[in-house]
Amino acid sequence: MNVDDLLTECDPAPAGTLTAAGIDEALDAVGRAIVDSPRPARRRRRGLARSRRMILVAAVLALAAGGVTAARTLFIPTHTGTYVPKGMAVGGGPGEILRTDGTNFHRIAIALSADIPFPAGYIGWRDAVIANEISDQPWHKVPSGQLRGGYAQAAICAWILDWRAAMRRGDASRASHDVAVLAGALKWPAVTAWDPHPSMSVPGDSGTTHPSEFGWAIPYIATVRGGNLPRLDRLLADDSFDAAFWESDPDFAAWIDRQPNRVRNSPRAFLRYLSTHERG
Amino acid sequence: MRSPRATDPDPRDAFAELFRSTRSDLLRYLLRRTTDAEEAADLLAETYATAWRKLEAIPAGDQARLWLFGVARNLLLRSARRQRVADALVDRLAGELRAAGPPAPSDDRALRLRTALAELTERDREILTLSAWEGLAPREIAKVMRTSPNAVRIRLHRARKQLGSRLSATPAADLAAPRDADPAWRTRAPVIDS
Repeated sequence: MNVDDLLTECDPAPAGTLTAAGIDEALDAVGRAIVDSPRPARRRRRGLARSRRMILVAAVLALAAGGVTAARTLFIPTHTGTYVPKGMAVGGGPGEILRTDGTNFHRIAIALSADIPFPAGYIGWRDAVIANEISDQPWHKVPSGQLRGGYAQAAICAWILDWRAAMRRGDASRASHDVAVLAGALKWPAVTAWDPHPSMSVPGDSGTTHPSEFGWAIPYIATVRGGNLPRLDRLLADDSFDAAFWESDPDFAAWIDRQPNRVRNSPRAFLRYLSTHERG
Repeated sequence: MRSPRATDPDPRDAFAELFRSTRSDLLRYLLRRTTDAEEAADLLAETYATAWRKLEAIPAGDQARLWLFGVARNLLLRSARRQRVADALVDRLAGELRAAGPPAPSDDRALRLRTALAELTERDREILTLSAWEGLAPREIAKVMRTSPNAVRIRLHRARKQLGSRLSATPAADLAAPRDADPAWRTRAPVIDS
């Protein structure tokens, strides 16, 4: 039996339980007690006061240096000049560490993706990668190689979905173009900088193996090159190799937000979405 | 779901809405990872009490639910070292949960699964169960566990394989109740400040 199926079957607290009225009432009482309890008074943070003072000092210095406006002193540079040490890139991506809260982060991020092609009609995906990286980095830092890798992952997903849409509407020319792009995708510099030799099976702990950073794409690309649409749908339905296509699709994110509460991101929800939102 | 803000005229309404919309998910999360209803009820109250104290830190939208999972996870990791504070309301909730009956399946396969899960590292176990039980996507798990989605994907794949091989290696006669016997079920990972 599939491990996920067994986990679901043996869920100690499955959906549909905990519905007794007594539990609801007891929970209501706990909630009321919490909001009726006093919250601690907000304390003035010394760090905040200090940073305000620093900004004022910086503004004065900038003005003294030649009429630079105060607003420009608030500029946060995206580039840090710090690089991920060699040998530490796996899992976090190589390259210069960029500040995702940098004033010009969006512009630099878009420029970094310039050599990574997306199919026509997927223009919003570049911004989605940026938004995801910003929300994923609590310390506001991301290696440029990881950012470019994020673009490459999203782009590979986009080309695969574009091929699927082209095949479903019988657009052989576009499908052929998609196959050609995907055939070279694992040689894109954004891919090889992070994962020089994508593989389905690299050694892990305790004698196990797992796909390398872009290893997940190998069976999907092979399926597209083989023209096997039913197999692609099976891979998508099973979310094989944790490809998580839906995470790259901003339109799906907007769609799922409009669904009733219990609908969550899942391969099935994504396929349902695809069935009603054909592209092309 | 709108997240409460300390600057709201009355943050209690928004907090109550957050509580209503997330409490079942959080209660299930805790019941799946604790040994008894008292502990789950106590940790649930502690999770939301922490959220009430830290309104400024609660992110907006559905991220609030993931943030609460993160708080609950940290409290779980600490709970082995803290003493439970008796509280009448928590006891009442625990009583209702007990009266509803323990939902945990206890057949051979469930015991075998618990044994195999207990042999994984805390992080691998948490990633697997957040995916299978809470239905979180790798990106969401990454937020709960404060790591990158790519790291989650790789670990998830590896953890599935490890669990599969442990399940096939666990003889039926060698079953134990690991959550009761092995306190490391909850305490192997380092504590992270919430």
